[in-house]
Amino acid sequence: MERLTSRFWLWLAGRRRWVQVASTLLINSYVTQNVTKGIPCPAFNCYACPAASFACPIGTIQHFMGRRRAPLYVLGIVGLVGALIGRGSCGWLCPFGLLQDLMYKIPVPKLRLRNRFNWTRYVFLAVLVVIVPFLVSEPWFCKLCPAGTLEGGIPVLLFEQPSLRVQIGLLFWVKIAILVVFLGWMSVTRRPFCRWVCPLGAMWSPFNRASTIRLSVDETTCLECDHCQQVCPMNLKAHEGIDSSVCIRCMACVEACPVGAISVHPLYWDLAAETGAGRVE
Amino acid sequence: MSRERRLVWFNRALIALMVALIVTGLLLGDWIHVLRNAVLL
Repeated sequence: MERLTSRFWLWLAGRRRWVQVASTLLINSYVTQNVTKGIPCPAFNCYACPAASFACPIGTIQHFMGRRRAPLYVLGIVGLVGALIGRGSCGWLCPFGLLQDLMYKIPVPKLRLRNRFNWTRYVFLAVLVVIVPFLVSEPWFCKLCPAGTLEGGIPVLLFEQPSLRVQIGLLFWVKIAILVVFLGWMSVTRRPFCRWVCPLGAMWSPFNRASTIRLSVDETTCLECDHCQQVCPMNLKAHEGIDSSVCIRCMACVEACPVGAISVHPLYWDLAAETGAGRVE
Repeated sequence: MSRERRLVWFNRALIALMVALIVTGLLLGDWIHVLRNAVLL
């Protein structure tokens, strides 16, 4: 049973790109907008995108902060996803994460950065998503968000409402500059937005230690060869903390480990084994 | 209680809390606010 389960996770890990593409298309499928836009999306996707079918959780939280209203429903959706898969949505569902993975494939010199100052994403969450919208009733993270510029600002001006072009001012060009900087950074460093900025990832990060789906490292088998770090989009070493708050559960390390020391370890698996529920005669 | 069992209970409590937040939010009308805000964009 355990071997079957391991093969399943390996099979799934090899198809992550397809899952990311399917998720991006589903999240921006346009057709169900009038109903499903009331549901916070389990990924970072701007709901100003003309095709967006779900609400951006970060934009929604800012809206509730501006109205001095507790965003219970949004926090519940975000928290439920976190409790089930931790930061796995970042690795499997997020369209902006897919963009970063694809941008990194551009053949330019790479800049490998250590995971220092990862706490900045909590600062963005606290200041731009909670405090500033609460004080001034304006969604200031949305005003600066590169995903919003790429998926919402530019398509709306180009296709949906060209008449808005007369209102282009300084803030628009600041947003474009921020987007250009991030697009360039994405091509030289892996997942910079996820590692240093994303407030949604910041909300999911603490759940990695207690989510239902987790990864584990067999320390007796691990060679500490750091091959996992070579393939990890977040530049992590599995043997130095598999429950890291930065891990996006992409399972690239599971695929890449030469000795199979890393495995997917659902939280209830050991409990089932203890009670005999998972035993196969 | 082993660490694994403690984690299992903590995970269950988390899921229950999140479901409670969702239900409470829906009862307070959050879904309509989210939809209106999102559709206006």
